[in-house]
Amino acid sequence: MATDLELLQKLEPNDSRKFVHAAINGLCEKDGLHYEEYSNSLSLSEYSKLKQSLISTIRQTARQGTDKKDFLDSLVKLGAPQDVGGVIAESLWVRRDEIRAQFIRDSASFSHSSLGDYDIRTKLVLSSDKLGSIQEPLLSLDLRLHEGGKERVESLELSKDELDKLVTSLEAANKVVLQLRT
Amino acid sequence: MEEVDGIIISTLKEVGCDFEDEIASLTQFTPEMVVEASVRCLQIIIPEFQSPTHLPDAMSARFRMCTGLANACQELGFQAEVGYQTFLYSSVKDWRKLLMFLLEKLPKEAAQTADEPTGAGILLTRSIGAEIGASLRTPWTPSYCKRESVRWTTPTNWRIEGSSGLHAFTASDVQAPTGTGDLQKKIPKEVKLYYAQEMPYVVAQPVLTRDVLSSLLAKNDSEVAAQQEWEAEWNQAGLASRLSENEYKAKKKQKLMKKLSEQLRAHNKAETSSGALGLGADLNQILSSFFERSGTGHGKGSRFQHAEKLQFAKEEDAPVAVEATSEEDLQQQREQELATLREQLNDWASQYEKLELDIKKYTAGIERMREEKEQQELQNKENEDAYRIKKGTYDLLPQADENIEKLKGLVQTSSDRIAKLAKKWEEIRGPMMKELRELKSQSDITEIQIQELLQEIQILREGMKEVADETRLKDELYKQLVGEYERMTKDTSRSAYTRRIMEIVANIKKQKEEINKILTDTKYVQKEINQLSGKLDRVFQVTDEQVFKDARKDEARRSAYKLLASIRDNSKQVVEAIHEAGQVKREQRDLEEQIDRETSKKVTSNLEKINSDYQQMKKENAQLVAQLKS
Repeated sequence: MATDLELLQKLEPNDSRKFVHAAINGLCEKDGLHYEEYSNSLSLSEYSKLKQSLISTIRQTARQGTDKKDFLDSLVKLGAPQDVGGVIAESLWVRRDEIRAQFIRDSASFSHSSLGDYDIRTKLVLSSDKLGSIQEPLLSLDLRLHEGGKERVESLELSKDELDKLVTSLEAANKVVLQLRT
Repeated sequence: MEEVDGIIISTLKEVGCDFEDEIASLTQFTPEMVVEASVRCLQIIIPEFQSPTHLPDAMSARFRMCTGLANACQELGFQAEVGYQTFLYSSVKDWRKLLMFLLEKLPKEAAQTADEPTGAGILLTRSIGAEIGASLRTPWTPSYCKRESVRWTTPTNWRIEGSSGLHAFTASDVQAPTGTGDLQKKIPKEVKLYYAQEMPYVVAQPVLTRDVLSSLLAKNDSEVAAQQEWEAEWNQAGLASRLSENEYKAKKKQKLMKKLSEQLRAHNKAETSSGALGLGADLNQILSSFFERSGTGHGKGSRFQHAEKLQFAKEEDAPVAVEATSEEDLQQQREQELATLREQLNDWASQYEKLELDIKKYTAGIERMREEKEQQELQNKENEDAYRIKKGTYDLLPQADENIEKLKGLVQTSSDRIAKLAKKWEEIRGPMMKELRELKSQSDITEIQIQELLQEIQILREGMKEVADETRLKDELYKQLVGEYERMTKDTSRSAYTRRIMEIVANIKKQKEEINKILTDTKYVQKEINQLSGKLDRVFQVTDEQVFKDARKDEARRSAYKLLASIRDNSKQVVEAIHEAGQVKREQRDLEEQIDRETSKKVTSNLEKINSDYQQMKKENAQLVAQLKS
């Protein structure tokens, strides 16, 4: 694993920093590493080895603390060469808040189901085959839930009263949370 | 008066009378036009009213029609007298009054078709109808001719057709450089380098470009919600606690950490007392270390990962290397091993419980011992003290008297010292108590002031929020009204009318003032006249008396008296003549007004017309009689 990290030295200094930041982006569920950008300096197998080792190193190092020295120490312990360790430590230190937020998000959502995104559509039912003029507003609510790694979509269709009930119960839950917090 | 006529003519045109465009005032109206106008208005006001719109030629028919119209107007409630003569032989003023009355009686919706009821629901249904109608009229285009299902109807209007281009709302985290606007804050060199070179633009950060919009919306929403929550919390609890923001946040963080660790400890104790081993001790150790560190965030992540590791560590705990040849032997061996290991586990578990019980007993015993030891030590101390005192007294016993004297002296000096110290203390205590009282009162005053200031701050904040809400409402209202105003038709200029009305009102006010002035002047003049006439009478009487008194004596004086009487009579005549002249002038003015009124009625021309019409009617009657006969 440590020897794989030496492959990072094959890239130019700017490119190596870009590589590390792109790896962190991939860790934070953003647009991450693409092979075409590094195809001049690395072969495909080297690229995949380097990517794997870099991501696992980052995961292990980022837990240790928030100081650049801590990162450097743990990287040295894992056996990374000096300058590579320096580059990784620097990039980790710059992005430490994002990484920490991502770890917290992952840990907080690993036991129960948690809400990812929700989507709302308002519809106005004009008429049906039985009634000529139903002017009824409806709300269609899609909830994307993450349950233990899997994603599930719950769809609800609410009328105005049901929506009011939902909103009041959510507000009550929010009040309880606020009370716990203060 | 021209504007009034203009208004009347334009409304009559809207009602449906066709007049020529050159007619601009009621003075150019003919009886036929008046009849047509009133017939149309009556038709609108009373739907059952049937009447031809044009005056027939025959005189009798005309007479009948006009009486019918006049009766209808009277039924509607026209105050003044109205009959066939108002239509045929009347003046412009009467026509004006009649037409204004009829126009006022017109039901509002008919006269103003541009005034539509505006309600949000009605507007919505109308716009829905317009959109659906428009989309039904346009031809269908396949989905590959539309980009993301959007179809442009005009250069500024678009609508979505079909659902091939729609996608769900998925958001991911986006980051932007923070703190770059504040030049005084120092950003570390590496961070600046990252911002400048490697950090991708926000549009490139989510994995799919179609998520960019949703990610931005989600990020903005979360920031706004966080700020609102913080403001609400700060307004309610933060200001009341009177700490600075940082102190308040630190205190809140401490409280939350304590709550978390208490909950976890309680939960953990519940788990360990039910028998799960291994995890409990480690979790306790982590909890204590975590609470001491209280600040390194990765502790949270590491706790869970540590727990995970332990779970997996426990599972990797059965490593016995098996070297069986056949699979069944392997299976049996494994089962045997499992059984032995489980027995061992049970043994250890029971041993562990026994040991725990022993530990508890011993700790309880230690506690008891400690308490007893403390009690004993206390007793020892007391005994020692008592012993010392007694020893002292026994030593002193042999030379009792001297010692008693010495002791008395000691007691005296010590009591003197006590008195001195008490006095000193009193001296110092007095001013300090005063200071304390002053400071207390000051702090009370400042408390009250602080409370008032806090209340004012809250009121101001609420006021700010209300003002912000009001401005938002007013902006919306303004937009609505501007839209409505642009939609309304502007054919009659209201500003000219309103200006004219205001001018007329101002004129009337001025005239009223002038009238009041004139009234006061007349009153004043009348008072003066009364005073002067009264004075005149009194003067006459006084001179009369005086002269009469002396008149008896002298001949010349008697003639003076007669002359005085004649003066009185003449001046009385003069005054009466002036009165009569004034009255005559007034009558003259009234008569002139009457003459003007009568001439405006055009009595002679009307009389001629009536005469000619009467002759015509006679002729027609004769014709009809002749027709009947033949």
